[in-house]
Amino acid sequence: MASYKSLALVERAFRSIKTTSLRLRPMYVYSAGHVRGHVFLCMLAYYIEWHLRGALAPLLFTDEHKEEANRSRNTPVGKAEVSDRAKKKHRTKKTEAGLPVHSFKTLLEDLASLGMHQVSMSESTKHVLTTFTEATAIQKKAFELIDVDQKKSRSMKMTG
Amino acid sequence: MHLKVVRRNDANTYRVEIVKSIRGVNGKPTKEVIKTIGTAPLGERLDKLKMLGRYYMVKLKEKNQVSLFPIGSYADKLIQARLAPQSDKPIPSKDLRALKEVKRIRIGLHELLGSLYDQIGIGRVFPKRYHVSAKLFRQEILMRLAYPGTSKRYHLGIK
Repeated sequence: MASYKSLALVERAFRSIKTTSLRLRPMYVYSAGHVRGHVFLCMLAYYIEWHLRGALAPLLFTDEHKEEANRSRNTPVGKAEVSDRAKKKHRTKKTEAGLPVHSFKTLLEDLASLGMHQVSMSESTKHVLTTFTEATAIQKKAFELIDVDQKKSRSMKMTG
Repeated sequence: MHLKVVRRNDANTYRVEIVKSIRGVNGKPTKEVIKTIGTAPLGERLDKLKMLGRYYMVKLKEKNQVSLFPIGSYADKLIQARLAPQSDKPIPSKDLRALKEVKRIRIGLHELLGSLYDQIGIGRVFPKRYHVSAKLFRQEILMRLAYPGTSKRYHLGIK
């Protein structure tokens, strides 16, 4: 019964690829091989998204303690329960660390605001200074959860 | 605002001061002394006074506008550039308002998704000699995540 119910996950994945998140269509390719390639890329992109959703779950509305809630159920046929911690997260709109809870989309939008700026101090654009946007607490936490060393990746960008 | 070196009448010395052009009586242009740096004879001491004057000038400008860089470092760079002999290097602009943004790149998503892509190891299926294809493949997948529903052509600005 649990396996049957997990079909919902597959359906959700296809919905995400097709409409809500990755938007498979419109396709800008025409031959059969190219279309297959495009769909394959979208599936790989979804695979990354799935990992990302899992890793960033503490910052999202996702219930990360489902198993804990399922233990109180007598039968898998019964209604799925939401864990107490997830309910609290929904109610307070704050994570356990006190950070604002995001949806996946808004979190990505928030992270997209991080940028690299190149500023020229003279009329010539040969000599430029590179500065980076300072990450906010939630952005730092997201990088921590993914285990990304921002300093390292930025120094690589500066050296080209 | 600029630096002015005035020869004193009573001695063979020079006075260094920071002056500002203003409109005086009847709208006539005149100079207002903002700060006197000091007096010194021609030579090394006078050069040092000029450097000090430039430092103060940057500091005074800093008061009126927010700076992107710590004042000390900017002033030091300015002085170093002034001291440098005639070389190919351009002298940095002394006016902070002349700062120009050359490029702005969004890197947040690239950092996050790119790191995850590398951690999962999707790119490892490509042999080393296909590194260009591997890079392109990576960009395609990240683009799909960051800007879904758009084409590569759209991002390259080709119409």
